[in-house]
Amino acid sequence: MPLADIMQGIEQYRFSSELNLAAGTKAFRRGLRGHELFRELAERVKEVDARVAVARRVEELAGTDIDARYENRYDAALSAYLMVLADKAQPELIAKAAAAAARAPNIWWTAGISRELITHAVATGWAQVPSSPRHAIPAALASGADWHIALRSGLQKWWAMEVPVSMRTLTGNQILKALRAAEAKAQVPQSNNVIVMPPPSEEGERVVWKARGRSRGSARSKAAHVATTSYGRGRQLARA
Amino acid sequence: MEILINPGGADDKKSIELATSKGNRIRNWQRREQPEDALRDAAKFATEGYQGRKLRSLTARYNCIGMAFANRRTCIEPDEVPLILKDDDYAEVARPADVMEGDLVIYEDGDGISHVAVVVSNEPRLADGDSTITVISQWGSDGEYLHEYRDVPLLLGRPVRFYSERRKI
Repeated sequence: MPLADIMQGIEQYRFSSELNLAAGTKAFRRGLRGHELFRELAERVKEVDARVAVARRVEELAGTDIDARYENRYDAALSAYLMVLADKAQPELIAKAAAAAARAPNIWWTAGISRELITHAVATGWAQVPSSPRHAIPAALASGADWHIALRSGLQKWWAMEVPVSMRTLTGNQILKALRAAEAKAQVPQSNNVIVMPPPSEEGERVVWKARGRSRGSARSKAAHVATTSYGRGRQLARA
Repeated sequence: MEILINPGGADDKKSIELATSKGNRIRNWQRREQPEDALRDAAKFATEGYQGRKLRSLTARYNCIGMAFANRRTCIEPDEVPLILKDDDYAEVARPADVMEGDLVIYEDGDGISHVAVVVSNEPRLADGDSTITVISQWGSDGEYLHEYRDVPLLLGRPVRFYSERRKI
């Protein structure tokens, strides 16, 4: 099937209707990946031209006027395009498409996907913080502060919230994935910007942030480390 | 500016105050309505060729879990369901024959809980000893349907357990 036909199918109500049956994010994404049109698109975007066309279409759809009373009718389509690019495209193109999609009004599924991709892109140094008001970037980040500091500030606020530990751990794991990816890309922070994130206790105790250098050697703090990065030797990364 | 992390939490403008009976906050989001054409297409997709499915309401404002636990006001991620069941003292009903109106059916897929439905009737079948259980549930953001509890689209998973909050003295 030609790329144009695949994309036309993805932008129709039927595609959206099928995927909007999902009650939650995981089911939506699984449904998306299992959809025939998505799989065909995934085959197509192995070619550079197709990837560029999809990214361009993301920008077009994101700028399309919609009825502000309703959810964006291209939400599922934008999600499909972002996910297929996330699987196949170069980080720079992914970051650009995610930032464009995030500017689309009244999006739902796309908001979560683009948020993840932007977080990943910022963490890996492939993107600057987007100017989209939909994305929730800590203010310090938007003002150009070091992203490690801003991320730490945001995390501290987050950990202080009264949400069940399981939820924080879930989202924490997503953040750790981004940090891990950052390390893999050799976006190594300065030694005084090491992020140490102890896991919460079962009682939901607040996290105390410590510079890695000060806590080294303590068995307790070693066990508490869930994400550490450093220059040179022995980069460590452990799950909570 | 919204926050990057913990969407659906207390700082999220799209969420409403919602907590379990033990006071733990339930993350939630209020979705915008779908365009009318999209809702019509969704209902057609869900019911065409399925005589046992009956449309009750057509809106995208809430999902199945918001229907069951938040009086149709908001969407709740399936990940929140274990917390709600625990805090609200739900107990599993082992036998389908013991399920009553108002009880819940929990559906799962490969990723865990995927759907929740509320039982509206349970009629034992003498012929095979099984039960005909009819439920009501919101299908994603594609409308609310009355249906036999096993008759759901693939994306909603399959029924695995029944739960009830019934109390007896």
